[in-house]
Amino acid sequence: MTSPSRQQVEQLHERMLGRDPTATYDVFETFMDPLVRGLKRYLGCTHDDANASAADAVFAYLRHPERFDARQSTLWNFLNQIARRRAHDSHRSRTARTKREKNPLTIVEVHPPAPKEGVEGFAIARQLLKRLEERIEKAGLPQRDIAGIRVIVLHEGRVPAEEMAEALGMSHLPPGERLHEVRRHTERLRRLLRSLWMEDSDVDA
Amino acid sequence: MSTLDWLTYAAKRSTTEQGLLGQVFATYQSIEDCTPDTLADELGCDEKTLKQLSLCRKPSGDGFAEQVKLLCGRFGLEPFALANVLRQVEIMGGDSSNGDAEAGLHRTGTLQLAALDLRKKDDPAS
Repeated sequence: MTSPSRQQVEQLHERMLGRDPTATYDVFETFMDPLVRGLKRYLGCTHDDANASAADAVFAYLRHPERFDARQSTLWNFLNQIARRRAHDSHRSRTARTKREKNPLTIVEVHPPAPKEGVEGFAIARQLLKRLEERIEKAGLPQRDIAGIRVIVLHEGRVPAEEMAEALGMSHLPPGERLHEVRRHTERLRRLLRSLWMEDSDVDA
Repeated sequence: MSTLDWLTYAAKRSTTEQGLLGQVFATYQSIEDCTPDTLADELGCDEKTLKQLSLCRKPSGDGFAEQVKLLCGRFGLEPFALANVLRQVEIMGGDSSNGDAEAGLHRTGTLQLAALDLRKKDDPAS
């Protein structure tokens, strides 16, 4: 595919600002291939990530074509900048998620409770969660229990049985036995979590 | 990377994009409980053309008929078939762009068929 000439791109932008319903498709056809190729070659994006980031850029332009100012940059640079920014954001977010998932002890930071009593309440809640995290760490719990606690916290108490079975390494059990064991361990881990939390509150009192 | 790769991905994304035909087609498929193949048959095109069409703006405003003609000329469709799908979605699907023009792809052209215009004139409160 050859790069479009400046004149072709200018005409395309004019059509985008007008009422031609096929202009949006032509923007995809003109820019998707080179955008995806660039993201893969220069940023080392995977095929899917490159596809998603390039599409993000084009959709952003389609929603607000008037935001592109031809006096400041070319449409190619405009779209390329958006696509690269999206690719960076996606990479950062994925890296953070992987890091978080590899370290279950950071679970309490994922869903801190909504602050109901303003900034002060939020700060107190954060401190309590921080201390709870330290206590979980100090308790020297087996990885299986930490994985189970993580499921409880991530789902804010409403524990999906299948996910909990997987976290506890019980997916291989027959369904009846699995459900029974999952319930038993969930209750045990809830009690454990509660006692760690209460222990912290007792210290404060 | 083949064209079909990004086309498939973008067409899927278009089902939630205000102002694109992809969203209209998704609504139509939901109303009629039909597959993309069936819709392509109704429009008289193949699946690839349906995906290409999904990335086009939905015709709107005063130039509705002209825009339908333009789309059909470009992709080799019968204007009646496309207009029929648009009309069906407009009547049955509850066009979400009515109260959300800002979110539309084309700010100046909210999709309003003649029937809807008449309904609004009759009922200024709506």
